[in-house]
Amino acid sequence: MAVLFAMWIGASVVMADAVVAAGVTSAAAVAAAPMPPAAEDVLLEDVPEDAGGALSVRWRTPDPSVSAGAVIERRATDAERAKDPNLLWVEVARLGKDAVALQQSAHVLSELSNSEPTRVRVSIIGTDGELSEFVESEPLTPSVTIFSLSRLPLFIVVLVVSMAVLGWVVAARMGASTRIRRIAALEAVDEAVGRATEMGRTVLFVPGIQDMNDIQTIAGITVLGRVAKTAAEYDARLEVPTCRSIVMTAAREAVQSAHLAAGRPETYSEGNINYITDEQFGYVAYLSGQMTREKPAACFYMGAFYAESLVLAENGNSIGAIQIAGTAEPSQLPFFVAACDYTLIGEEFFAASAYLSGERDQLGSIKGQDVGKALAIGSILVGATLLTAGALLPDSVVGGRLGFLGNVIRAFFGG
Amino acid sequence: MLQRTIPMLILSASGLILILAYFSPVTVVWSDTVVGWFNILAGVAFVLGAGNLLAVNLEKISARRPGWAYAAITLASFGAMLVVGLGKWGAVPNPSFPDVHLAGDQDSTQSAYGWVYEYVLSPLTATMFAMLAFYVASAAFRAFRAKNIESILLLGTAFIILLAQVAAGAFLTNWIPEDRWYSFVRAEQLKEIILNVFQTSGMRAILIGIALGTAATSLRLILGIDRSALSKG
Amino acid sequence: MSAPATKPNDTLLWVSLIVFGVVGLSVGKFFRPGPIAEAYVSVTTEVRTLVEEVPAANEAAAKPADGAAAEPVTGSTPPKRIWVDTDDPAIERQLKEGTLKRVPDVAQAVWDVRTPIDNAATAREQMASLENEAEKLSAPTDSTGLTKEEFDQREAARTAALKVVEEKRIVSSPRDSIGIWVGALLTLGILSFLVRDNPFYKVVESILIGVSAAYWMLVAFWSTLVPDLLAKLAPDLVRATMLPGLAQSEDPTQDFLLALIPLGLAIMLLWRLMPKGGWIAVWPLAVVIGTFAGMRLTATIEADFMAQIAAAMEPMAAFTTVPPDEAAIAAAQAAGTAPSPGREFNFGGTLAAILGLIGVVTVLIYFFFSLEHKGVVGKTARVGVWFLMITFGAAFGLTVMGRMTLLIGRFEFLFGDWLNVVK
Repeated sequence: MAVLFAMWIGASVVMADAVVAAGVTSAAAVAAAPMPPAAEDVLLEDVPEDAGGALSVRWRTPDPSVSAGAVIERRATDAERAKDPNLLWVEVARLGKDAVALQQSAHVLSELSNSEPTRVRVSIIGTDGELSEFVESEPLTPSVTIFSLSRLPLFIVVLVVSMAVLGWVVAARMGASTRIRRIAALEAVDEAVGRATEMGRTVLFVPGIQDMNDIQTIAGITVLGRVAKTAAEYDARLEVPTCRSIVMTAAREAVQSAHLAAGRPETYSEGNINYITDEQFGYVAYLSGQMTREKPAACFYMGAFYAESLVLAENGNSIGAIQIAGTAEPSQLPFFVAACDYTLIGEEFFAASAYLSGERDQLGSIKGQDVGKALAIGSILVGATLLTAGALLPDSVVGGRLGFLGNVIRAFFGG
Repeated sequence: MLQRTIPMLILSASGLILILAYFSPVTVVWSDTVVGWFNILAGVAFVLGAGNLLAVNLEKISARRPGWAYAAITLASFGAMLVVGLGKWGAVPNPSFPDVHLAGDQDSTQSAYGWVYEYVLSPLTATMFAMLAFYVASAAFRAFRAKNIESILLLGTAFIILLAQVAAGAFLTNWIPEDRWYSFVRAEQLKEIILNVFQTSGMRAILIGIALGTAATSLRLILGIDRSALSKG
Repeated sequence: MSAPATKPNDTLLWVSLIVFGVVGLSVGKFFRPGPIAEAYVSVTTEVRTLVEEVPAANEAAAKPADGAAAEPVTGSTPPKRIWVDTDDPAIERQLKEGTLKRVPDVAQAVWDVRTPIDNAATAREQMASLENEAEKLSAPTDSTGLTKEEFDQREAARTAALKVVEEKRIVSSPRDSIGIWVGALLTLGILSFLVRDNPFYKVVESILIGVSAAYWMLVAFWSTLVPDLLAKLAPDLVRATMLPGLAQSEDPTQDFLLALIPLGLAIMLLWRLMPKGGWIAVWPLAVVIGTFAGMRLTATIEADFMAQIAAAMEPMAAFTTVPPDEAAIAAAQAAGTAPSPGREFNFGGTLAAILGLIGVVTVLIYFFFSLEHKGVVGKTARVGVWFLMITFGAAFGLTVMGRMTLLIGRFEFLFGDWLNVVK
């Protein structure tokens, strides 16, 4: 290669002399910006773990100092040639100085055909804008990855967690114990709804301020179904103002179903479930006003909440309502904990609907979640212990191996 | 069948498809597509929300219920905003297409919509948000009166963190040397310890719990174990 | 149970509010540098002219020579028309060269763009200095000692400078001043709720609900429904009426068909409004719940469950790296290698790591549903609750300052922008 390069330099010098002799241009101008050396080792490689359509072009730039960029052309596909038979090459990339600053360069081409081989050619742009000769690659067809191997650990964990939940559901059906610890906040639901009935006041249910694409809203609606059933049984008036149109629709479905399930479809009234506004603070202004005027005896806040959590909880407090909150929004838990009578923290909130249903299947699924937590605690303890051993005995073979094992476990979880 | 079984099948199928789609590079983009569809669905669903808003307030007005005048104000402001915003009243023409009125820009206060946003909507929402300062104070005051170890921990931590953020914290604890074993009681070091050790580990466990809760809730819905959100009866 | 901040002694509060207001206004009267609630805008006038591209003459001549182009060169497609700013030098040149020409019989589009100036005092200063400058520039100048050429040159420069100054218009804006009044009254209306629920608050609340509901509907319409649904279903109509800059799609049929899916779901959802068959609305709900449940399942396990477990795996012993000690240096010198740094046991770091691990494990044990909180489990869960309370307390403490800043922001609006008492 070096020999060729030297010969090429020599040839260009000779040419320069010839040009001077012909008197067309000055030797200095040509010598300062010679035609750049062509790219070498042009190679196509598949981009791993993708949906196909992408290939990486690699090439070597022999002399970055005289190269200002590169042009990549792709051979026209059959379809393109059917349209225009004269079309042979299509320019797909024109790269700047950065692409040839180092000797080894690469560029990823996307939107390529997965059905026929792609062939590319690369030319280096010289500092004066002149193109070197094109160098062609071997043809290659992008490969399509059906299953992403890098997500295998995730797949395994999803499978394990799902199997744990499903396994406990099956076990519960076969008669295993579904005893679950008492959750005070959920035990208080009956009492709160009952008190509202006695006092002749309403029950307020706020399903958060997010739309149905948030799993917390979905969980809130499932809890609403349970609370609505209790309210229907007690014949208490349940009001559900919503912040989103679709949530209003879903809440109406859930409450209507609950009235059917309670055997009192005639007491269902769509007018108690209303859309207010999508605006967070507009919704809060309405709720604050409504709470001070109507003085509901029980307030439920179940869903995704942000800054409004404290406004709601403090207003509920000032009217003396029993307040039960549930959210998985970590930043708002402190305010509910400080101002509500009962708060379902994170996972407890997600278990609420299942707990309130009292069905064996659902209680079993809650026990399945415990398997997940046991897995988490076990992995953390094992991993941390192995890493501790590695840290304490850095120089011994045993310590090194244990530490390595710890790192492997940590890497499995993505750390 | 149409009202119970099919929706359940739709729910399960769409859930399973989206779970599996995440594991293949070919289908991982489906979630973006679905989010796009949802946004359109939510946009069209505003018809339901607007219909409900109109129905509730018109009913209040026509029945002369107490407070019907407020319902009229709500309707009037709703209608006015909708009309000026859809018609782009007073919008600044688009420099490239000054002849297409609806291509104009209505973000500045020059347009009616921008004016309402700037001088009605944002002062209202900002003030509502700012009222939290009062509510934070009253919540802290109540927690202060509840004398159990939990509320003392909550309030005590909040107090230390607050102190470390203001000049008083430094003023009170700066006399403690910085490099002794007991220097962790300096306000700023105490804050670091609370945030990096206690809050980090607490949040970590909460997040693990939330993840399991989310996963189990999703599974209960997809497998049809919890049908309270959809099925009638 | 009563919240002290929401139900204080009413009379006292009203009296103090009035006193506060009177004192504030009268103090302001003495010190106020200008009128209440004033707003200024700088105005620029935009002019656009419709021009069309003139097909290049040499291109027209070259085409037939190709031999292949048999069709007539001009007349098949109308020339491209665009609105341009004729003050732009590039456009000016093209007009001069003849590659662009003004479309006859189409009036220029002329409109003002008003940009608000945040600080009224600055605006007034700018106004005064502009006026001053204009006055100076428009004064007649002395021509003694200058040739005619020099004088003309200077006059031309003076006229140009005057034109620039006169184009910079800063005017008081009544509509923005009224806006500040409206904003201030609405702000007071919301704050009045702290005293008690009252008609003023009810009016403000009703306005807020109406305006904000419409606002979000407009946002959804202009930023989602128009570009993502209507533009796919009827691209030509949308281009002609709302989005003239909409790019031509590569595959309009596919776009149209794909847009039918969300449209179909939306129609099913809206079917609730029909007298019969409202149950079909459950179908799109099932799609929404199913897809998002599926999406969140994998996302949350990856981003929260696994990532947090990995982050919690920390060695329960911490060491700090210290410079190599003498023995290490000597050993390294003997072996002819670079000395490796030493390490020192870090007591604080180790304690923090162990405490962190205890926190994660005890809080997770608190969340266990199968185990009753009794005995050892009960005690462990209790420790978990303490960790939770410290976690919540920290979040509480971090929020307070932010809320205070927001409140101060509102007071700045009332006393600065509106009453003009503070700067």
